[in-house]
Amino acid sequence: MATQTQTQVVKLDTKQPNTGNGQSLTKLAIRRLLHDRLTLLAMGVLLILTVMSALAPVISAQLEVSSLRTDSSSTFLPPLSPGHLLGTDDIGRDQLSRLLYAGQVSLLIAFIAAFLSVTLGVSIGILSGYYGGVIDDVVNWVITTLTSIPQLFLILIVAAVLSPGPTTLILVLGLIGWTGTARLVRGETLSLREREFVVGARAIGASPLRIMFIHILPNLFSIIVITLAIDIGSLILTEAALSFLGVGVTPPTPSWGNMLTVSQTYFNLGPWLVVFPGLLIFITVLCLYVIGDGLRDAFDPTAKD
Amino acid sequence: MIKYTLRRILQSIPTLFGITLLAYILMSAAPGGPVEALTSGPQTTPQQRQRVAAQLGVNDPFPIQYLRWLLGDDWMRRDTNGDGIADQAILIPLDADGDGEPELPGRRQGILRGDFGRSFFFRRPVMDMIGERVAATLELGSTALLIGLMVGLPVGILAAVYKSSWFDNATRIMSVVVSAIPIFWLGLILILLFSVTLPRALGLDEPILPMSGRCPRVLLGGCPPIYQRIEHILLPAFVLSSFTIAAYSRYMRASMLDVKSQDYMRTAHAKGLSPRKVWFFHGARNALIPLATFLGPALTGLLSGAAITETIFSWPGLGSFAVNAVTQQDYPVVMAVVIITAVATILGFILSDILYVLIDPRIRFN
Repeated sequence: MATQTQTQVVKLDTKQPNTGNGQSLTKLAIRRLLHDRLTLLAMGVLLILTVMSALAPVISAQLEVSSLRTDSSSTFLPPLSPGHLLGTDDIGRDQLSRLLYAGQVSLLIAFIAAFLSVTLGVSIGILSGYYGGVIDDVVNWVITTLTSIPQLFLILIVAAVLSPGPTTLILVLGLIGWTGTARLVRGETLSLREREFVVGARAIGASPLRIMFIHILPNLFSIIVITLAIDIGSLILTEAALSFLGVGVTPPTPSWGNMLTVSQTYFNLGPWLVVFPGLLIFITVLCLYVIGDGLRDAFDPTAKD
Repeated sequence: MIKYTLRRILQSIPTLFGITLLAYILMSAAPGGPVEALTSGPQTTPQQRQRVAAQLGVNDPFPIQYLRWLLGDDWMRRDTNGDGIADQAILIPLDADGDGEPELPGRRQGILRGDFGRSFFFRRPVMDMIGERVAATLELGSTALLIGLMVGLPVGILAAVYKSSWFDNATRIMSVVVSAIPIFWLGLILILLFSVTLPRALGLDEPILPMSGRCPRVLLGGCPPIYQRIEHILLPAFVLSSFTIAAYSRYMRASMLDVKSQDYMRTAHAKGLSPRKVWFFHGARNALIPLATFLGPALTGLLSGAAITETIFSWPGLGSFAVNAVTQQDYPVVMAVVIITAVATILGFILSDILYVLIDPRIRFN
């Protein structure tokens, strides 16, 4: 009986804002997204890049190239050479194949790290926003401290202290990048805490955990999705920068960032080695930022159709 | 105002404490450390290594070590009778290595008094080396900030005035595009363009713009004044300012749009002032106020960006110094740069808050 009443309260509330025709905000957002061509295009490009990276072994086998096989007789082949669509690098490895394998590493690190940091940020944000008091003070202190150190320096030392590698990198990026999300979620929770459905849930005896994660969390859905898209983008940039500087993913494991480290010494012999890894980083990040912006517009309750 | 400033400075003490604690914990956990740096020679025996470790106080409890790093040890182990050997000690033992002889008096002053120790790699006081590099970073950073302001603000104002025009749309697209470009890749592409591709296309033997450094290589002395070596700062400053331009134009546009609907703007229009006067004297001046709060975040962004930009262009500043120190496991240098940039950031935030109140008469200190 009690649970039934609660779910009704929540449902009523999500229905209320903005729509006269009885559609939920999420449904409305999805409908808006389906009409937003730019965001759909970005989603398509990102999907293609992800699928191609995931299929790196298959594609390499089909093209009869390898990301590992070195060949001293065919170094620095330019793009569109026979057998090597995007050319070869300084020790004769096929660049297309290496780019795809590097994509696996870069995308995987950014996706997992972003999930980790958003999960952390949301949990910490809800807890500190809901409870306030000492918890809130401590959380604020930690956030101010972490944001006072230029983030790249902070990640740089932590990554250098722990030995470099994909797993370390995921942990470092995830454990440091949560502050922005936590701040956003905290602010939102502060205002949701006073809303009728939360007061109602508390009145019928729902536990704090239930209120936080069953009643408040669904209302944060739009914030979470938007932050996730933008975080993945900026984490790809950070990972690339760290790997470029030599404290992220280290060779022989390829990543888009560390492919650029090697290529900068061969400006004269193979300029295409500089162009393509960066171009892929740029396209991926651009897609994610466009998706983030598109989601923000789609979820905007004040927007008109 | 003095009261407000003091309160803000007091409020930043817990933050500063957190930063030093975090930095120290990280440094203690790091592989390689002062003991290894001093005993890396092949002839050192394990006994010698232990002795050095004891003398450096590596085995002391963590809070003592942290305190020593923070405040130094010249007050912990003192020489009162002037014979050069310590005879008084608090918190730490007088005879640290256990050989029956008291140690030399402590000489470290601690980071709070500006003593960051010696670089493991260069064997020189860290503060001296930082002093040699601050000017280069300030030069690059302030040039980039200036370019960011001079380009970003007018672009933002025009985008807001001509909202939804082709210019506005182009600005918004550019600002997303620029923020998605990896800054180090932009640097590499520009170097490629100006030192390989363009000279080759034009049939030149030399790069159009220099690829690295703050000035042509000189044997002695520093660099000549900046106006004699403008070509060296062009590329790095452009790379570093790219995201500042994007950010400032976005903020300025949003701020102008907020101001646009204010009553005083309507009044100015109704008085019959020319649109240019309304926008620039009534609009832009008020729209600039919220941008004062952007100074602090802009500073952290510039410092982070400087680390990458300086590394690509071999710019001899703090950023490339720190990046090299990280790969060389030169922790005293890393700690010094991190703490100095953090303090600069905190000061930037305080300054922008004070500036905000000073500019905007509607807000009072309290």
